[in-house]
Amino acid sequence: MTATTTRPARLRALGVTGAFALVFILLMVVAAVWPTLFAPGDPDAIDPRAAFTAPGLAHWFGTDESGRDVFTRVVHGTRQSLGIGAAATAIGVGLALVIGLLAGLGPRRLDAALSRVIEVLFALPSLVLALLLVAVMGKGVTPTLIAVGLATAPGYARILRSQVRSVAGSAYVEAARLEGQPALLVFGRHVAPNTLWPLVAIATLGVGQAIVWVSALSFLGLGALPPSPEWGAMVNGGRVYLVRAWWLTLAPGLAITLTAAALTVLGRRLGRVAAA
Amino acid sequence: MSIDETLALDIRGLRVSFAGVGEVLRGVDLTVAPGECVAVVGESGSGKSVLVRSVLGLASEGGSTALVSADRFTVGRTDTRRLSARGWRALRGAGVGLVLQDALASLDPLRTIGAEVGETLALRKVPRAQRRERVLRALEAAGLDSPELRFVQRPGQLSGGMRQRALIASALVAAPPLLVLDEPTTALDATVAARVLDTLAALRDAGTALLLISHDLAAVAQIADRVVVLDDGAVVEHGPIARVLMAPEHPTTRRLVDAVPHGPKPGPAPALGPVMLSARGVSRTFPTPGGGHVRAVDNVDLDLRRGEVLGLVGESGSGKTTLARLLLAADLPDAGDITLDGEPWSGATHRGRLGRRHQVQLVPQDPLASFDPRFTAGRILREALARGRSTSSPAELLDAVRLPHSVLGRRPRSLSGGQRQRLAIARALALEPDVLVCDEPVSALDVTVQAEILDLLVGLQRSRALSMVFVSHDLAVVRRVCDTVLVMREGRVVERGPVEEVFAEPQHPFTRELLAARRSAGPALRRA
Repeated sequence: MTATTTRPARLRALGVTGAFALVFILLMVVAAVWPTLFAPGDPDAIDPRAAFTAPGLAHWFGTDESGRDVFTRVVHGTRQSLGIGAAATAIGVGLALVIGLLAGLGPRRLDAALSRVIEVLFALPSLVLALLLVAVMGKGVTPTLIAVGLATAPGYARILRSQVRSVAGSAYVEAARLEGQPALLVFGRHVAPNTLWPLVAIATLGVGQAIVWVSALSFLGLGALPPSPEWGAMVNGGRVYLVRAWWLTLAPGLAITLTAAALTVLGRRLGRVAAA
Repeated sequence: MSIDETLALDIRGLRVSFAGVGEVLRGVDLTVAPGECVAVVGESGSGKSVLVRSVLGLASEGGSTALVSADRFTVGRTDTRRLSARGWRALRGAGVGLVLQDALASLDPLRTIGAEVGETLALRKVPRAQRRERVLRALEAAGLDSPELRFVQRPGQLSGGMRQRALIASALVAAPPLLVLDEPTTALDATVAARVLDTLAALRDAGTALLLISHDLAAVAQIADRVVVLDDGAVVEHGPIARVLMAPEHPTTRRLVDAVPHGPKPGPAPALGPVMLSARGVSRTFPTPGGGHVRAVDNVDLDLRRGEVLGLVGESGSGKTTLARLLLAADLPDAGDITLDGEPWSGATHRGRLGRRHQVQLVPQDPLASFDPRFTAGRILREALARGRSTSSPAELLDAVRLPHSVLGRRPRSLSGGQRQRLAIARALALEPDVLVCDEPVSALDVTVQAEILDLLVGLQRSRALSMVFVSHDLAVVRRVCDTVLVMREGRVVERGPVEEVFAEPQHPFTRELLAARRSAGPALRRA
């Protein structure tokens, strides 16, 4: 009964902008799972005669130097870009869960030690940290996403730690304890849900950010390698022809920007919904 | 009706409405003369706060745009009906000052009292040297000792009463002829409140017009000359304070007057059973930021028998809440021992306490914070029932605390203050406790709601033969509810005994001071 009364209220709390963002992200997810629905062609099919065709009816986003359809490539790149962003965030949040919960609920010394580690990691700019990790682990998709995941973990860990501490110290957790609920039950019923829901909103914001970073690393030639239609790599590939064929950079660049923007809007709205 | 130029505030037919809500004030007449204190009383939702905001031209600050109209609305000599936003800003501070209820939230923690109080003057380009002089005078007029020291201190270094007086000083500093006071003593201890009221009375005698908004009739009785009773946005009764309190005519007024706790506990003396909860030589020390220690509870002994209601009274910081937490075993003593039902309680293992927690339950001061924000009332009660031995259903618990069953699907946030406290009591009852520890359970509630909750608690305590520890700073409430009382000061018990004996013949000077603060509440409320 409560579910039916609260769900429409929650959807309404998303607002028009939030709803647009949600629809856009859902479309992106569909494109990632089933790219041929939007672009039935082969992203790697070359057609030298049609090289550098400007955007038009035949090729919505034009073609690149080998005559590959940019729209098809952007759509097929969704899986990789979105996937890497999500996976990197999952690594970051997963690591943060361990560190944040240990620091937030563990003994004071452990909290102090972990908090110092988080602070040291914070002192390094995340992208520099990611660059460092890629330099150590080598190029490629897997090192990139691990690097971005590790680089984002301290931020999540710090948020999680303070959230866990405030929930664990709240009057309702104490009330549950005074009722005689065992510690594990208190954690499962009160601490975990009230900590994790706000994190979902923040992680949604984080996926957008991770996509930008992964693209940045690919743009620098450290992540996905050129033939693959990853967005960052495509921007990098189009850089050489920027004056002659601007659409090569604009289309994947726009995809990155719009996805990140939609995820950011959605994350902020979700934050508000979680708080409501 | 000629225009009276001498009135500090003259309002006729004030109507305020909000889109979607409708009319909140429905034709209110209100006048305050210089040197007069007019009190506006009413239950929550009667429109008191909107009236305060309207007098300051802030009716729309609550979030939604307000539609304000009046036949007459003058502050001093200013007709405010055609006043621009800029005009209102000039009037606020110089023409009308405001003192809010929550002194901690109303003062910037990072700024000194001098800067905070002097802000009104700084905004009016008063030279710095002159400003300091006037701020010091205002601090003194507000009844703060050593104003030179207070000038450089920050809000965190002051006690609650001092902060409230600093707020009064900041409202006074520009010497406005009219001062609006929104529940200025509600959050204060009895002795501190008495001193703040004395300060206000002195200001009134010096010629300042006071508009006092309160639900505390005892406070109102001390300084107000006239009282206006507001109900559902309309004035239902007004007149001299003594007449209204002694012979209230309107049912709302009568309800408000009757709800003021007064007199001894009604009903027969309880049949006391064996000792339920016992403390021997209990102490609790906390470290202070400076590296020192403070003994919040210092060598306290107490015995609570089955069926007994024990009051813990004292000012804030006297250790009564810490002692209550020790009795709940929410915290453990550094020294001494607490036993529950003859068996170790504070000395038991963590696991040993877990199985007996249901025996001692808490009714908190702030019930909303004690509910998981994601849970509905029904789920809160079901969780509690799963812990206890009770076989009753959530609906039966709601019946016991006289809440409608429709509450089950609602979240506590959407309930009123009184309903939330009833829900907290229902949750505590779900565990079928032997001892109920109530920590200031009614201090955040309106006087009429307070009376209902107190009746409910006493009724439940009698029908279920509960033992109860009742923490309160309000002596009248303690007298109404408790059988015995412990008076605490700086962590120690300075006096103890049956309530009526302590009230009739207080032995310790501190107890006498506490009682005196309450007794000055005016002859009208001392009857009975």
